[in-house]
Amino acid sequence: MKRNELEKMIRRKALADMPDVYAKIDFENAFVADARPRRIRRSPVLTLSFALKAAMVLILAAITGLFILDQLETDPPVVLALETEAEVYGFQMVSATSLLSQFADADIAYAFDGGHPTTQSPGPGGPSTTGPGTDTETTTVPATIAEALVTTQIAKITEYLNTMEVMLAEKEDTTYEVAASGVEGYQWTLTFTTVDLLGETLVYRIHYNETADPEDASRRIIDGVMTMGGNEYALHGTVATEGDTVRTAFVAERGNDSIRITDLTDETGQKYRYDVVKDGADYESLTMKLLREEDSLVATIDHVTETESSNFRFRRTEDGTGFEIRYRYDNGTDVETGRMDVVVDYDEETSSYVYRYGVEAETGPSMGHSDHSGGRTDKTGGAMHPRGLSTQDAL
Amino acid sequence: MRLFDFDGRLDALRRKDEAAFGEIYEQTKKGVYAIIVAIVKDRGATEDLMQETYMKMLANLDQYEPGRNFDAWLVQIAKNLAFDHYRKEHKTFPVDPQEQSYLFDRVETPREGTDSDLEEMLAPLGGEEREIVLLHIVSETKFKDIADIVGKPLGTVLWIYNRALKKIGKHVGREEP
Repeated sequence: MKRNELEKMIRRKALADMPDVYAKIDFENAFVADARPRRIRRSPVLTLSFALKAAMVLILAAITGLFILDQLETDPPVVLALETEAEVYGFQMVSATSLLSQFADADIAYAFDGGHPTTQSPGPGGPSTTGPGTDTETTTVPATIAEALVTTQIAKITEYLNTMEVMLAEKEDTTYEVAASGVEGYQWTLTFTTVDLLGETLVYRIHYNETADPEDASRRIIDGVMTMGGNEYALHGTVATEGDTVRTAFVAERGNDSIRITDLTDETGQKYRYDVVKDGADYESLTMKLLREEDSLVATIDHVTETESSNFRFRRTEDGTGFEIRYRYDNGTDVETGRMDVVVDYDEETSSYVYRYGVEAETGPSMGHSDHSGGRTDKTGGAMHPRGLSTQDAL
Repeated sequence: MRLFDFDGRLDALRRKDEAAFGEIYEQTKKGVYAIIVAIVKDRGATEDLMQETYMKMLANLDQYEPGRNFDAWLVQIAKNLAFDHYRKEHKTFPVDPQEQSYLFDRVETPREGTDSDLEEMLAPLGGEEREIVLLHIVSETKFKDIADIVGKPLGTVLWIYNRALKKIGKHVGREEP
């Protein structure tokens, strides 16, 4: 059944039973506003009983206040964002591969609307260029646009976001599992399952071997492979145990492109540094910090160059359909802070899903709102095809 | 572009012009019906709530600011009344605790007549999906206005709508195009 036929059927079924209440409305008397009896507040009379009750309430309030103060003064325990070995391995390997695949396709990502305002929601009475019969009424002629400084970073954020969409989901939607590999030549298969912004379940598999380092008994060596977007990425890593501390280091590479993850985790939380090499040359470095807020994984990315620095905090919205990004961007001259609300939208013209950014610059020289778009990598049927990661395909 | 001059007709309505009310009623009844039926599945209650919505609109006409989105304002009245109704019903009907995860899943009152087919079609949808689907399909409310009503960005509304149609397509056992 075609989509419009489905819509017609719903309309027909719904309207078939719509009541007509026009005749039942008492038009003449309906203009009387809700008449509600006004409540008269009486001044409390000071009696012994009242005074005793008030004293008890005050004592209770004081005890509660002291208890809360005590809780606030005690440092909250550090909640590990990633707890199990599978989570630690899996997050690093999948995020590295995902970021690498994004950076490898960076030219495409930049070409797609990045950094330039493309749409602007009309304000009250604002311009609308919607043609007849369309539903979205998205304007194509922008009104006055506040050129937030961070708009120059939209393409970069889109690269990150394509990875964050995969990595950050509700805990109940995300699993990391290690099992004996059924693939010849590999001991283990790590299966990472997540849910993207469209509600699609994505599955990624990494096949790897883990062996003792013959030169260092405290280290183990990991060699594996992962397929993403039809491309195969080699994974190499080490896991070193120093007392109670376990340090991991992974490199994902394909051809002349690679990304190295260094574990910088300390008492303040789990942190990783990503060093990207593209076409054999250093491309960029960034630091990612992971936090667990309620049941959501939250990631903060810091990116610093000689001339600018940025900090982006990614968090999935409660309904799982979008992202809220808090940011601070310093272009070497000015500093801007603000937020972005990101949702996935279907672009009829390109027949593909895109990220729509609503940028709200809250402080800085260009405060205001602007809307932008960024290319979204197809998570299910294109560059990150999880169903293509069968053990046969992956190798 | 809005073809119907709400503010002009509301001026007349403030002067108790019943013909103006008739025009406004015809223009808005599908939206009011859609939002109520998205929340309350009881036919009798839907009728009462529609009536109550228009009575409340007339009684509170002074609270509407000309130039704003009258459709959205009226639909919000209907939505609030439908939720109030639900809450009252919920107090009087025992409910399976397992079904309390989402408000709309708990409205158990069966409907009569042909719209049981409608309920069957909409069965896989959550409350927000029902709202968006019914507002768009039944009352032909623009997605931009629906975004105002449900308080979500336009892109999210579009996505929820597309997802809901896919669910319905799967549910009725036919392939979604």
